[in-house]
Amino acid sequence: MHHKQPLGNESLRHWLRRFAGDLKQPALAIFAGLVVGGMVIALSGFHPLTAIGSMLKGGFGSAYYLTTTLTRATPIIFAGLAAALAWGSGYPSLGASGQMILGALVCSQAAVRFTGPPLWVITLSLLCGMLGGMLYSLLAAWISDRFKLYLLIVTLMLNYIADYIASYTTTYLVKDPFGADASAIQTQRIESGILPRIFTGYTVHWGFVIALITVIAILFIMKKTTFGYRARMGGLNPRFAEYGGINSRRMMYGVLLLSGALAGLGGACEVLGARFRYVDGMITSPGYAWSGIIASLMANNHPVGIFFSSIFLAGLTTGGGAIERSMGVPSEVTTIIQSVITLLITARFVVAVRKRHASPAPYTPPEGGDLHESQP
Amino acid sequence: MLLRMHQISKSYGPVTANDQVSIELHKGEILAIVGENGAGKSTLMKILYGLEQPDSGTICLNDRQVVFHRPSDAMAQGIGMVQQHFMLFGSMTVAENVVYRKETRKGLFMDHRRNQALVRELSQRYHLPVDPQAVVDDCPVGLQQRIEILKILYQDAHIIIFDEPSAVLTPLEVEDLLKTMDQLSRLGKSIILITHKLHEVMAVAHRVVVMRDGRVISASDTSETSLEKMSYEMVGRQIPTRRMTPPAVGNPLLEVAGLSLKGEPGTITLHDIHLQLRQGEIVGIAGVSGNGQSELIRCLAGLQAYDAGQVMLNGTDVTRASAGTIREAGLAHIPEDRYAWGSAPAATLAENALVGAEGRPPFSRRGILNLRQVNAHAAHLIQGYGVKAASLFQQMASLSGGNAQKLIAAREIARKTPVLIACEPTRGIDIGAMEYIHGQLIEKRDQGDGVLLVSSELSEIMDLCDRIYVMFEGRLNGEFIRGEVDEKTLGLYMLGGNRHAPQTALG
Amino acid sequence: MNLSPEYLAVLANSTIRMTTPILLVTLAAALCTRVKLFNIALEGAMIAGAFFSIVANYYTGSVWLSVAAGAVSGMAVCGLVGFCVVHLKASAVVAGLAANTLMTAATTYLLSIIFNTKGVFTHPSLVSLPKITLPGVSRIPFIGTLFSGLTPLDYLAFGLAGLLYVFLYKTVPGFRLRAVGINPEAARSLGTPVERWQLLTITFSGLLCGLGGCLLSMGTVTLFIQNITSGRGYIALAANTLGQSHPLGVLLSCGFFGFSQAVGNALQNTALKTQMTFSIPYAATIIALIAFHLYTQHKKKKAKEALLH
Repeated sequence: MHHKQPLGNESLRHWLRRFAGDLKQPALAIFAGLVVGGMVIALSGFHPLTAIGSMLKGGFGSAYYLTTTLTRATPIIFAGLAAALAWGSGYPSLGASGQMILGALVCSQAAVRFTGPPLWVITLSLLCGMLGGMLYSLLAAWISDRFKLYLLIVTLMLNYIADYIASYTTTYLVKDPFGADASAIQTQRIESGILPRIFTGYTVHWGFVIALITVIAILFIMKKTTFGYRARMGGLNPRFAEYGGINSRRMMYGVLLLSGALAGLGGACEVLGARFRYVDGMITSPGYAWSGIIASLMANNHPVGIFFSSIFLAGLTTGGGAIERSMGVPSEVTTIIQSVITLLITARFVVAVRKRHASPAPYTPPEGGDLHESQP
Repeated sequence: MLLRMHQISKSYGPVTANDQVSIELHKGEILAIVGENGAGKSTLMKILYGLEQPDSGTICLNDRQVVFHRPSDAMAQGIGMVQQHFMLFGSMTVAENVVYRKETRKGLFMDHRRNQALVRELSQRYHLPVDPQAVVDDCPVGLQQRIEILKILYQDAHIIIFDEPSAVLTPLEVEDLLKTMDQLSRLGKSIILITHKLHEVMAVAHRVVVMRDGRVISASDTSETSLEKMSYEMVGRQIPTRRMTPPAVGNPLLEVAGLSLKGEPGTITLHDIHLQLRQGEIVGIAGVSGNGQSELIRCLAGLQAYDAGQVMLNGTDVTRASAGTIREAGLAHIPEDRYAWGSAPAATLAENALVGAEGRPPFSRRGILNLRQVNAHAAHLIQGYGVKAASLFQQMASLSGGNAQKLIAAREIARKTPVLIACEPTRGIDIGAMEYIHGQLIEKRDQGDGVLLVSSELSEIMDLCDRIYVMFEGRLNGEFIRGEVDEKTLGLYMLGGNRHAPQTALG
Repeated sequence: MNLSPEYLAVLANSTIRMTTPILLVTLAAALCTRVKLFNIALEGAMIAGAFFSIVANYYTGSVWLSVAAGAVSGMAVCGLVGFCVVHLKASAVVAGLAANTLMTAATTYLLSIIFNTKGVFTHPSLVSLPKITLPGVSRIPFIGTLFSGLTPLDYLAFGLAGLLYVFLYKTVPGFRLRAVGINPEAARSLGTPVERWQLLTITFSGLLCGLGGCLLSMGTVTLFIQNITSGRGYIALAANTLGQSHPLGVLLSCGFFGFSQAVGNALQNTALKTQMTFSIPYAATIIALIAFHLYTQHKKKKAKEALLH
């Protein structure tokens, strides 16, 4: 596996060397992803270098594109933090999608119904969104804990169910009564209480700033609090954590609640800042939750790394949209690139020969995601 | 000459595991290779068995040079190894395990009947009785080892390597094993016995090679050497015999009454355990591993729920309390497996040194860690216990086993709790580290704390403990006071030889 | 609702047709578990199978070449994931999930490149899997409906369950395969190339997934839609747990999931909204796993009590 963060200060030289070492793996995976993406583009009759060039330009090349990318990165950052918290603590949850959906849905309803000054409405609606994500995560945590089921399977199934719940609710219960387009499955547009844009003329909204603040808050929690320490130890070796007196059940609920709250907040910010209503499929079709997991894997669960990897992934998507419009390359090429990056992000290209001692065999910590460990 | 390993060298990075080692083996001979942990015996055997490649040196079999890239190469040349950790398929039958990869078949199908007959025949020929249809998981450890031997015989091996074969056996099973080796050698098999138990060497080996620091120190006929000479050669100096002051025993610190654990079918259960630990004494729990010691300690440490019983720790009732509560009430615990329980190998040394104390000042206040204190504490432990480490932020996994153990011991002893449970605190570490940890345990006792020492090494128990309980099949079946018991008696109790009512030394 | 025998026969028939794709994939999951691999890429392999069988179908017009294309593409996906997991030591969950999104995206991409369409592809020239009419049976009232419209792949799925049982428990290669899963270290120490067994097994599991996908796109209907698998690969993981990775146990658990999907489909024409009926299989998965847990807990407790008395 990769290195673990130190607790305190170390020499700059040491830190830089470690940092460079950590970047090797994501860099290789990104390179492989772009090569495969280029091949796919070439096979379908476009010029790969031109296409990838315009893709990067379309993602980051101008103030307009860059801010569009940042808008798209906002929910990914939240989903990435949610994933990092859960996976890094040994609870591989895929539930961010369902939690974001519920966060978004609840927030959209709260924002329409609350009255008062915008800041007040925004705060309350965001809190409601967090609560929605948190409760849905609590459900998954409880099922997994009480009945000893794989969290992975439970969250996967709950994602499907959340999507249908939201679809049902928007279709039949809270459908937008004023919509011009009767076929659009969406809720009523939020008038007061939307997150304002940071710069006029650009889509990026204050949700991005909230995301940035959250990154710093999570960084602090993970590195400088006993909660973060306990969560990390539980993720690295659950038995060691229990031996040290860490209550693993309490940690599981704590971690998953916080993770659900982050995902819910991500969904809420997307509603208040970008869509101004809940639209059926607004979370699932862009695949925010999955991008978040990729972002967190690329950054090896480091919050600051997630901030940048999310922007990178969002940029690929914005750029993918750009080349679809300008060249006719289907935008799925960006998902293909992302998937290849993910496929290789945990692979070890160079199997490290690190047998320092004749015996015993070096211990490999339990894989965060492998189910064999958690099966009762 | 059947086998000659000539001038074998092997290093792992800066560590030289084998330095120009040469050994010879004749047909029908039992050759013992003895040495401390880390002396290089295991590496040498891994090279012979094709698990490792030597940096230089040659292996000759029947005067022909051979190269083994993998175990199957060695097996093809008739070399088999009974490994310390058995390589068995637990949910399969004995016969299936023995014939694996050399199955008799009817077309594509397994010929179970024929396979079983073959195994039965083999077991009769070598006087190693087994039931071919039994499932391996249901067999006791001694029997499992026998299955391993049969496996090797079935593969037609004529050189058999035994790697620390007695570590997991009861004294009675050890006797059986030694008899088996003797028989096999009479039937023309050649045996290499890796061990650090010298009386086994004296009992069964024809020749003995002593290794230290990766080199051969001596090679001689067993009849020409002695226990004293071998142990001197192994260690390289005389071990000073430790003089312990008589214990200044005070109030009870740990009292266990009627603790019972009814496990699921097939697991160890604990029956009505009563024990007491008082201020200023080291109390030992002796016994062959796997007789319930691990389960008992996990119960006491709050890591395993038990069915009945009461536990008092330093005046607090900690019956069924959580691990955290028990730690707070005054228990420190050096666990038996340093990587499974005792540390997070992928975490840094500083993180590993903190566990259990992270919620207390000066390390944290209101949930916020004080990293300066955390790191200072870790540095203090590392320096104080002479842990060889380059940085506070290196991974625990990058330390050697002995250094990792030292750090764990340091962390637990430094908590200055009234009670310390030390489980196999010196397993697999070098003599220097062992002596250091022993010294620390005695110092803790002399400060008036209580130490509960669980060890399967009888010599460790005899050296350190003021009072000794013996554990057998989930029961404490004897209690003795230092100086009033000899190894032989303890050995008898360890294999359940004494079934009458437990003696009570405390009255 | 009319619960006539005929209706029940239709439901049972629908159950069979819903069961077989899941069964093929669950058998794939079971095999992987037997060599200690967690294969979550079943979903992606299934999508690949569904898509490439339609592509081959369109270009060749041959049913069997389509089936072969589906099988091979499934093998390619699982083989790729297997290589990453077994040889590059990638995390099985991460690499598998990546393969799933990769296949979702790649099929959508190819759909627009090859057929210039988004979402759905169907064409009058596409042929579907032949339906087997059992001579004489179709006229028997209940039985006839029960077995109507089944394709050779449906029969193959059930046959494979039996065949895999015999393979695993009666043959020498099956014995060695199980040994790899029980204790890979031991198998390796005896000279078994564990990695090669694992890679072969996961690749073969891809073949089963490919067939399962092919059954989805060329069985009851003949078309390819995005999300045609709708999580069947994940449900198969649950079915594998319930069936204890035993070919015959898996038969039972897949029957349950097939039934829950058939019920979901049957309820589509009732007052229940589609969102409710669509979520039935996923809810059923969680409920079945919970019930299974409670059942095993109960059994354990009984065994413990029996031990004490």
